[in-house]
Amino acid sequence: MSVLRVESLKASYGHIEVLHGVTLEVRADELTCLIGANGAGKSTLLKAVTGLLRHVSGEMSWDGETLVGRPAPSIVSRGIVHVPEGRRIFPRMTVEENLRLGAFLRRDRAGIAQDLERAFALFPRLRERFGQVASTLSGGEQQMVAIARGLMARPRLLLLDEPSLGLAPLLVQEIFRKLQEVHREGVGILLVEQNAFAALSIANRGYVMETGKLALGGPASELLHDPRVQAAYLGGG
Amino acid sequence: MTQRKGKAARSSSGAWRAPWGWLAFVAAAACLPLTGNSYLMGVGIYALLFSILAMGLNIMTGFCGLLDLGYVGFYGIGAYAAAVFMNTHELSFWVALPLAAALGALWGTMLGAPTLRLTGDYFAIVTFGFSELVILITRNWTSVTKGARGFPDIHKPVLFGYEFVRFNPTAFYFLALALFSLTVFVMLRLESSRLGRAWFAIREDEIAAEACGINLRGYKTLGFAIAAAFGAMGGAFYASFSGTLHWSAFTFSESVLILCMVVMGGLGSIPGVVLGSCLLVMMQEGLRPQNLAAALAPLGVPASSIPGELRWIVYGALLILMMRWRPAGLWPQKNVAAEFAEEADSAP
Repeated sequence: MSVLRVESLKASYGHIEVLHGVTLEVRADELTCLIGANGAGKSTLLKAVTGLLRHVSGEMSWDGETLVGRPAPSIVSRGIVHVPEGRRIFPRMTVEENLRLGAFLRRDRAGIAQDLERAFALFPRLRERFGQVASTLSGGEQQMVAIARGLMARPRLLLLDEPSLGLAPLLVQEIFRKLQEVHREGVGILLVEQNAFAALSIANRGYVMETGKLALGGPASELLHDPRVQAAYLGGG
Repeated sequence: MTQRKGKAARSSSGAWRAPWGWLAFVAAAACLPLTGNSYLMGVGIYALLFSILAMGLNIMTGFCGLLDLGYVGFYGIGAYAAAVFMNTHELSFWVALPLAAALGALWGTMLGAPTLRLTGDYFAIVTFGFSELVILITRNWTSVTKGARGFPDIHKPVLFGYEFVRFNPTAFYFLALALFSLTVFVMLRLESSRLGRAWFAIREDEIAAEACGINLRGYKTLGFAIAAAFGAMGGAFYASFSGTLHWSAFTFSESVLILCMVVMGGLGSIPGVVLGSCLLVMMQEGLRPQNLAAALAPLGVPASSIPGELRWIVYGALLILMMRWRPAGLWPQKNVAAEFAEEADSAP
């Protein structure tokens, strides 16, 4: 079973250090969530792991192999795929073109066709929108495209950055149900969310980040009932 | 072959079809020499040449979405390289042409690899600086480029013992048409290839492209090199066709002109870019002071009242009108047109 290990990871934008030594583990058979306020460094952590951010120090490994210094394509081909914040679909391309680009590094045509079917089985709405230009889709549908595009790379670990951003509560529920389904099919998930309650409710394990550091970690059910988490993120007290 | 066809048919930008439209265009263009009009053929040669250049630049600006303000630098490198290969090293045109294109690709790679990490405006400035450097070098490297006096008496192509002559441009016209057809063919293949899909993805969203596993620098550099190769190939043709080279043919205004062709025709659209090039070359001819004077003389407009560089004013006005009424270009790429239409619809 594959494990993503991050140890005392530091990352900075220019001279500003954003991650001050983060240590955590993400198992490929679990649904892990990472919660925290704006600016805590959650997105930065994902970018560092997937090679979108290059100035990092510390250690990151996957399957016992280091990820530090590897460019993004090499990390995608190792099965870690990032679904970036704000959906970032290719706006002028059709749904099909978007999904096919997710499989850019793959050469197995039969496998790609098979995964396209699986993506449509997961999101039947996208089958209807197959040839439609992605920018004309609704926000929820665009998020589905982003997730399905990530799945087209056939990940073993899918990293999602705030998939609930800007979506109506009902849609958030739907998206989260789909993520659980993806997880049941055997894809590990690391879910970064501000919507702490929803994320902890579906996760096996949770981490809480505060200003570039890990504040808490443990089984999601425990965090959900932890008074500190309730006070800070769940509106309880 | 069927397998390759199948692959192309599944590509993102639509099915691979035999390019009947292009074949018809080339066939029609091949009939122009029947008129026996050397002036028309001369204009045709420039239209084809600038179409090649604009299609090359279109890889950068249209396919990858990178503003290149110094494309003429590669055109100049190709022209001078071909002149030196042919005259100084006594190589045949048919050897000098691909060598010049390869040299262009090499320079494209050398310039692109370190600078393509720059974004937007910064990259544009670097490319502008590069083309200015090319001019400075051609002006001052007298031992090779003959300096500011210009490179004289460049050899003509010889094909099966027949030497091309400028005064009878039919042979040059067919040579230009052949190079043009080659360029169109390569562009169509690139557009529907894996490489083309990577470029379009980069144009749409760099971060998303990288998240899909697309190597940004690698694909951008490759695009830059291929674009540069076509620019240099155009330059090699120009060197042999014009017979003399002077640095003033490679100034910034030529880069702007080629860019105008791309933007006016439709960024990313191969037929659009060719249309833009043909229109602008014809307009340039029509707006020549002597042609204009001849056309306006019956109306009693004195030749002295026609400004010499009127064409720049007309270009400027045309671009403003275009941006207002057809912002996606005269013959836009399908998905680009759709986006502009959508914006117009959603406008109040």
